[in-house]
Amino acid sequence: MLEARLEQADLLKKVVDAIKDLVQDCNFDCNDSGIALQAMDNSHVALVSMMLKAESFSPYRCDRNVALGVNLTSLTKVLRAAQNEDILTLKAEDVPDVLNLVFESSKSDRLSEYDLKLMDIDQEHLGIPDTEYAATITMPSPEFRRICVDLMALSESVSIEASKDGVKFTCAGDIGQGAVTLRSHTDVDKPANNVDIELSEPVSLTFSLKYLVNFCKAAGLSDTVKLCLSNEVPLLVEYGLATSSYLRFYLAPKIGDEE
Amino acid sequence: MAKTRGRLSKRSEEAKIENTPASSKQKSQLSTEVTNPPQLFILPENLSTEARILQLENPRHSTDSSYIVCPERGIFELTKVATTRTTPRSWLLSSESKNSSKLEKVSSPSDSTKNDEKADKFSDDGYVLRNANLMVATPIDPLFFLLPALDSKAASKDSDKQTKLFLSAEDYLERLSAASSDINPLLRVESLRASLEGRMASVCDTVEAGDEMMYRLSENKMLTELLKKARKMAKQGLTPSMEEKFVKKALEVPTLTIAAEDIVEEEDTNPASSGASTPHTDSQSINASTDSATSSFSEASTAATSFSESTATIKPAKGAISAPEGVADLLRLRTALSFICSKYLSPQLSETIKSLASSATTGTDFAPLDKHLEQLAEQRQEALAARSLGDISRKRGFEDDDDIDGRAEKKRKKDEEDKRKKAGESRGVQQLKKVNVSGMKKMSDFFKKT
Repeated sequence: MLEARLEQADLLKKVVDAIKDLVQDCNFDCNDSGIALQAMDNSHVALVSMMLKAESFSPYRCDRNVALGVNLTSLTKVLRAAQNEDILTLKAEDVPDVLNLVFESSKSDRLSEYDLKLMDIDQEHLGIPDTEYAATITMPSPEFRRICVDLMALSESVSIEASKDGVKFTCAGDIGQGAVTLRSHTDVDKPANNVDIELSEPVSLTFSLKYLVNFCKAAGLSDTVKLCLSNEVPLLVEYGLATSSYLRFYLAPKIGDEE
Repeated sequence: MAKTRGRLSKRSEEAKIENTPASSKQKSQLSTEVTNPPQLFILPENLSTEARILQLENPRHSTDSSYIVCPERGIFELTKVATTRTTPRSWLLSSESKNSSKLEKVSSPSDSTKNDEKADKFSDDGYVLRNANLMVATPIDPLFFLLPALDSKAASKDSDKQTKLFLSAEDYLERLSAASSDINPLLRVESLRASLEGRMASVCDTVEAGDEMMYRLSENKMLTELLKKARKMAKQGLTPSMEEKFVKKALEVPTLTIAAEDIVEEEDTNPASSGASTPHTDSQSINASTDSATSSFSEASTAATSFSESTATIKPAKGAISAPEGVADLLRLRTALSFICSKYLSPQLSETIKSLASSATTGTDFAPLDKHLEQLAEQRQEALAARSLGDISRKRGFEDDDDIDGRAEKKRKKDEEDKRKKAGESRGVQQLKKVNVSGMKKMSDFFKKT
């Protein structure tokens, strides 16, 4: 029996919205520590990893480890029926056929209940080791989204160069080229606007902008985003959530074949 | 409570309207519908004043159903003859003196009973009964109520035969009253109690302990008793629908040629169907959608379904039948027996009876029937095989057309599948498919599988 109550449906809505444009079907793996998700896109060049810790829910109960195979488009359809402020409860049996979602509106005493049919999804699970990244950049998530969207107008890929001077996003396309540079910056009034660069060695990597723009759909979940880069390893884009829950995206760098 | 009134001239039974206090006096116009409308009953004659409609445990479904229990005349089961939803009907009840020709079921005011003034109300103005449901009371052997109590397997869930003990009639009746508490006061009536004990003795091994008789259910005696009933039912002739479905169909000989369908041989062993045209009381549920008073409609249909399943036979090719002497009668007997089992016995008991009947330890030997049915099944299989062979040879000429059709069909199916797949994909996922991923390694190159 799984029972997880979220104070605000908002969180799940945004998480699913962010993932649904990357993967089609995926398993929500529920155990006593929380609800986790790991899935790759169709081309297997990007990976999303989500962890909603048990502390994010009140209460959280999971008697047995259970994998809820869900089509994210379908889940989105159901979640659309929830208001952002609704209290959301996820329920499932130990061997479930359906995922039961209950939305309660505290204001209007409205209670809606949906059953989503589950599916069996055969997914390979990858072990992601803790990595010491050469560069870790923390910046406001809207800023990162803006850079990606702006640069995508010019090109399909962006090269990210992190040096002690700052981080430079550059791209070159048919109509010309563009570059955005951010320097370390501390905003005392609004810590969310800080740009923080930790660097052990300079890094320069190229990534597909379409994927990055896709990751940026999670910008609503968190004020800040953390980019972690090392040569020859996938870029990590992390959106931190409350109670050390997180939504992480990994993207393989483009190697050679410069356009 | 059940009181009788108003004798019918046409029938030996009496029709009666149980009036409820809610019904108001009828005007010439139709008055508003009453919440608890009266019901129309056909009740047996000369019920004693002690007779009551009681909720007893249905021996088949072990749920409560309505029965009329009369200390003198025994137990009557109430069967509801209902109209189907698709052809709704209503009753118009009025006095015999005015409209006797128009109506079949009439409550006549001429026989004065204490309920006369109520009858007058209906006869003067007529009464429209919205639901044309008719409750028919037919005698039922009290034995059927005793069997669940007697069957210790059902009572104690002990499958071991050794544990069956001899018990006094008192003990069994206690079990019975535990299942249907309504019967308690009537068990004290000597006549009813005596008849119950008599029926008990007919299916039990008995021993005398002191001045008391002890009983234990004997399965062979039970089978003999039920066979006796089945034989009687078969002798009177099964209802036409049963005869058609379970006897004629089952004995049909499959034919190989289409021309043979037209030749209808007379079935010499078939008794005159006139005997079967009057519905046997026990088998009414086959003809009409019937039910006992309170058990739900679905239950009755389940009973009917399970019955048809239990004796279901392979649908044979068309053709007439001729079976060896006696086989048809045996089949009729078996059909009657399985009908009784499926209508009045608990599922466990009917299983026991079925296995006992097939082992043929009793006087009736079903072996010739089984043998004949086996032969028929074989013939049918052959006919079917021959038929399908013929079908294939006929199809060969159209192969090319089929191929084209098949391909078009395949394509359409594939398109549909694609469409369905796309419906499960978000726009984002579809757009990512177009992304140039050259030079990007797979995730599994970086992270190891677990």
